[in-house]
Amino acid sequence: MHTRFTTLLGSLTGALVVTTIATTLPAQDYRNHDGLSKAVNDLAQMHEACSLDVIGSSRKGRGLYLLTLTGDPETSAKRPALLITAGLDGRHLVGTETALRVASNLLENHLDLLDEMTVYIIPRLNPDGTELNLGDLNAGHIGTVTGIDADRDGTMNEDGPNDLNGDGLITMMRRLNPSLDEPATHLADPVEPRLHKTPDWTKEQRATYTLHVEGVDEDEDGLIAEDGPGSVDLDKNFMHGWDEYALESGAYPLSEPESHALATFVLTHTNIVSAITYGRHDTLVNPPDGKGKDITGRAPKNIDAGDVKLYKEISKLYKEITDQSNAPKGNSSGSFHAWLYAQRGIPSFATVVWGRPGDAKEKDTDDGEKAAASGDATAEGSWTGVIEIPDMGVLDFTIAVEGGNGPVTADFSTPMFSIAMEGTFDESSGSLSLKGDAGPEQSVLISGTIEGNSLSGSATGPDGDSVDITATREGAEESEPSEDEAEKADKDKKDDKPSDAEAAAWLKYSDEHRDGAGFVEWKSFDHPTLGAIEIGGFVPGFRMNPPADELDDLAGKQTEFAVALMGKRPKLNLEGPDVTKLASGLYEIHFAIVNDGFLPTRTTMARTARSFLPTIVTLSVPVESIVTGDRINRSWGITGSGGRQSLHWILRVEDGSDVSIDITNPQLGQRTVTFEAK
Amino acid sequence: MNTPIKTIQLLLLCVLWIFPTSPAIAQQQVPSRVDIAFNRYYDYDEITDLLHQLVEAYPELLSLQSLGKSEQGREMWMVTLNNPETGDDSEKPAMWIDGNVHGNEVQAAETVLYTIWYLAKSYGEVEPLTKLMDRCAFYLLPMQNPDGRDYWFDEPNTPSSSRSGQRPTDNDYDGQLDEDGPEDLDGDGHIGRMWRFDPNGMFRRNAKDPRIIERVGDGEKGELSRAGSEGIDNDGDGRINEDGPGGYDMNRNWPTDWQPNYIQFGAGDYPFDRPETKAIGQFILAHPNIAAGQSYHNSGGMILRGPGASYAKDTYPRSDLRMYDKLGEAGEEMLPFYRYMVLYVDLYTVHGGFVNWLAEGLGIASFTNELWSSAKILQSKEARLDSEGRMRWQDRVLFGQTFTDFTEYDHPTLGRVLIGGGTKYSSRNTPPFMLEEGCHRNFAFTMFHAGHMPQISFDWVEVKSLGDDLWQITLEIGNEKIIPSRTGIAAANKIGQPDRLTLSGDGVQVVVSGRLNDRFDTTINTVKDRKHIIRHESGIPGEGRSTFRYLVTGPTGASVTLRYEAEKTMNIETTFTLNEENTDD
Repeated sequence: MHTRFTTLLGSLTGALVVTTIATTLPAQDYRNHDGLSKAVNDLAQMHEACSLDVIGSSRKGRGLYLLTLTGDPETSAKRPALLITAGLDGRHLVGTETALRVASNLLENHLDLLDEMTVYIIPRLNPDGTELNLGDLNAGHIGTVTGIDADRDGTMNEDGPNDLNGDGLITMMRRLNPSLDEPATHLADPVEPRLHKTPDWTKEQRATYTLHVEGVDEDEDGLIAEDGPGSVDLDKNFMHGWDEYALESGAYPLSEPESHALATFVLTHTNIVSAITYGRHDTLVNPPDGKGKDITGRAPKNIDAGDVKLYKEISKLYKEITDQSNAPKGNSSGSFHAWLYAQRGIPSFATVVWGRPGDAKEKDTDDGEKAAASGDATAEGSWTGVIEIPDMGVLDFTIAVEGGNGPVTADFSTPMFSIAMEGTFDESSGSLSLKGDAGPEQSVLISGTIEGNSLSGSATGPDGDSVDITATREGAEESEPSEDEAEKADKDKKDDKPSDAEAAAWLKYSDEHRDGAGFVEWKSFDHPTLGAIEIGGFVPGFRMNPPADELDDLAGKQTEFAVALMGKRPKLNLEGPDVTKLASGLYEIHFAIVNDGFLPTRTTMARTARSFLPTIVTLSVPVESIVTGDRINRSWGITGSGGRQSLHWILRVEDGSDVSIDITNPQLGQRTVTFEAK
Repeated sequence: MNTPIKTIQLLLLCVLWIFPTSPAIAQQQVPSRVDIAFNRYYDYDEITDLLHQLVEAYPELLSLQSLGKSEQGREMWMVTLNNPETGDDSEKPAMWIDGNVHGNEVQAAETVLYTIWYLAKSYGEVEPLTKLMDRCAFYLLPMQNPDGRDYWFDEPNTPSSSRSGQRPTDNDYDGQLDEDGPEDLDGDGHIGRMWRFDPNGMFRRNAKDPRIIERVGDGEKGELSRAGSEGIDNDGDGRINEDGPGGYDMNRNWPTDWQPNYIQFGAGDYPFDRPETKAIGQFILAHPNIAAGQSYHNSGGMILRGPGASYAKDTYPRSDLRMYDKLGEAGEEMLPFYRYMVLYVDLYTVHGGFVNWLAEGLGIASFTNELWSSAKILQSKEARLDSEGRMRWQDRVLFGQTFTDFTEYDHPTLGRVLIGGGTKYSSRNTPPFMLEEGCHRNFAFTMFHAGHMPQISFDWVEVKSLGDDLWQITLEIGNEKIIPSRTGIAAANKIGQPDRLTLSGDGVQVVVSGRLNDRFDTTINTVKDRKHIIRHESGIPGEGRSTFRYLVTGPTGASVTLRYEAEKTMNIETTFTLNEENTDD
């Protein structure tokens, strides 16, 4: 048992119990901060291989817990590590519960693995925001409790939501046929009238409702519940894609003590080789694509094309283990997991843990497999599309590509210009990248992915502006004449579908499997200023958190995935040195570092970002004695399954002298190999 | 204990207002309570001492605080200049003025020091500056990077080295920090250039002046090859001076358009990850009254504005461009040989720059001046300064003090080399005899800039009876300055709070309120709720006005107060009664 935590424990007063509060919670047995404190403390007490620490404190002074799982605390910081983070979003209670169970499962069943790898688990980054949802009122609070002046009137948090109907939840208000000064915006969805949609005039739909968050206009500014408590959304407070002008993104990246503590932990633990984040984002059910660059034209929008395979492979593994088929596709700008990948280069996987049950999207996976199975992707042909170029307008373009797998040449032409380009096409991933010059130092880049006869990607102009492009291979339309019809039939069918299919499916699940627990049925209410309204809507957090009795099973799958991911870790081995005497005092040395694991030692992104020290190989002999090769060698990354970094030197050293090779790697630690020149 | 000084101050004030303002050719000599020579440079300790002296000498105007400690623990001294008699600094439009974020760009600190010194001694003596100090506050930080400054003065350097802060950094990815910096091998106190003797070299010594090393013509045979800057290979990796002290750029560490190191060299791991930038950032975020900003750098004679990257070009609305043009063009006139330029167009792309954070992130009208231009050597925009001319300047005007003659040196790994060249004072820093002029002209431009921080007033209030205790109040709020109360960037991106006009009065009820396009406009753009408050997102334009109208009910003679609040200018208030004759022009 590690006792670093005893002082912290001492500060907690009263009984540490699992709270079972209002029945209105999505499920019982989700832990509040006291419950979490007890759980992490129990784990550290019960398991020799578990120690408890904090990486910092929340704004309200709650500990940001860190569990370190390792077979050897002395060397844990020098072993490759997996980081599991949860609870950035105050509503995502399942993440914390899963993280705790995964910790427990690893400690009970996978101790051997903890001799190889360290596992860091941060079960709840946002204890303040979460606590707000676990008291008497569940308002679906997302962020921290940092005050922000959401309505910019000089007063903070003066007009939060109010639980008007006293059900312990903040849901929605709808007002039928509102007054003339507040025109209706929505109508009840004809297919699922408990949900709402905006009118489609082609279907002669008229708006009949206005929608508001449950509350009153406390500050009498005409807006209801527009400036509630908090909050900065921690999962929008990180550097990659940070939205400067959105208040919930924070005044600056890492403005919150919680996000700052987490980033500091990551930056000071360079042994982290992969990460899983339990939260509202997903990269595992729907792996991100390698298309497009961000505004700078340098950073990938999602992931680098070179890492697409890695994410696809791990996604395959995840889906095999968990059978999860549904996951939201949200914008992850400013999120923690996106930063880990895009700026630190860490293979960073995100999952919601619990996806919406039922109706697995068979179609999607089928398509993916078909494309992969066909394996005969080619870039050759004439691709046409339209591109919008600033100052030029919308132009038709053609990219005529020649070449198979590997190097290709292309002509990129529009009515305004024509550019000769060179690049590469990778058959297995379908990724095409081209570069050409529009003038001296005016390079134009095109990158994209080819699936069948469609190309999608982006074009980056000389000034760094990037635009999305899509193109079709010429002559492709004829081969699939049925597509239009199929699409039309599909469209017709969609008319019977609710406008928000995802919400309707959740509602169906709530009705059929949860006795309607996920949705507060609309009921009349007499509002002080709006008059006759109805209150109802989804229970906050319902669509994120499963019934408590499913938690163990979900965590079992997540444990299995974490274990499998750890099994795929890079494993470095040394081969050689082979020493050949060329002449008296002249020796040739061959040496290699080999990755016998599955994952690459570094992602393509990490190699671009140079966010880590390379593997450094240093010879003990002085520079002057080296005829060929460098004294200090840097290896930025080695692919898995036997990928290698080969080193070759010719040295002038005295016969019989000892030469050593030092290998330093944040994952391997330090090793020295010594040989005799003979 | 303060009273005597205050009394004197008040007396001075009284004297000033009746002072005859006759035109004079020479500037009036104004004595200072602290004598500071501006024909020399000061290191960190000396500037610290001078700031303390100034603050002690002018306690009625100046206060000193440390914003925090630098990486190496030096205090970051900031002076607040404010006349408390005219209000708290937080109530006034304020200008942020700093310098020397790049440690080697030393004259930036003297320029800020000059600003403090000149302003303090001018209070009550120089009318326009006195008025400015009564209306505005100043936050003055001479040394953003005290560690870099000290290192530049104390250690052998080039004109460009010690730009970074002093946090040890691994620049060559070998796991070691700052292990291979330069060495002053020839003992001249500077880091010069090294040249190897090479019969196939591309360079040779100039026949007339062997101190000049020039490239040979095509087909000609040279005698020298480049061997980099002065130093040895400390870590035995075959490279020289590849990992010196620090190795990052604190002017790339600000939140707006911050990008990671691989895109923007020197950016750090995240915005504000250096104690210096964090301390400054926290102060500025806590002072939304800052309406103008100037951050001094060297060199090149530039008055720079954002944006820093081409993709941000549409960030600046037309109204802001007009504002910047008016200020920048005035600067070009006040600063001979300086050009008003746009960062990404005329200099280079900058991600996460300070001036960008101020202007684009916080809506503060801001410039970065690059102090000293070599055009000042010949005092001509047209004349070209070639190597010979530069050598004549340094021989005849600077008496050879900025050049170390080349000498042979036995280098441990390179063999015989030549070492010498310009000293660290040779190019980027203003020669001391010209320093005061540079300080003054830049100070004057920055005061012009400060003088154009928004100043608003009720220019016209019209009260009209519509009968039956219904009144129409129409008013214009004007801003005679170039900078609007909210920049276009602030308005477009909803930065900070919008301005607010509030009407209050006992027994007075607002029935309709809103903004008009001008005083002849007949249709009100109405406010729906909380009608006594008109939120004005775009603020009062520079050299322009905004027009508002209220329809209120209330008895004749009822008192009405209008209050206009804005973050970046003094709030104003006017009270009048509901009577038709109360129209005021």
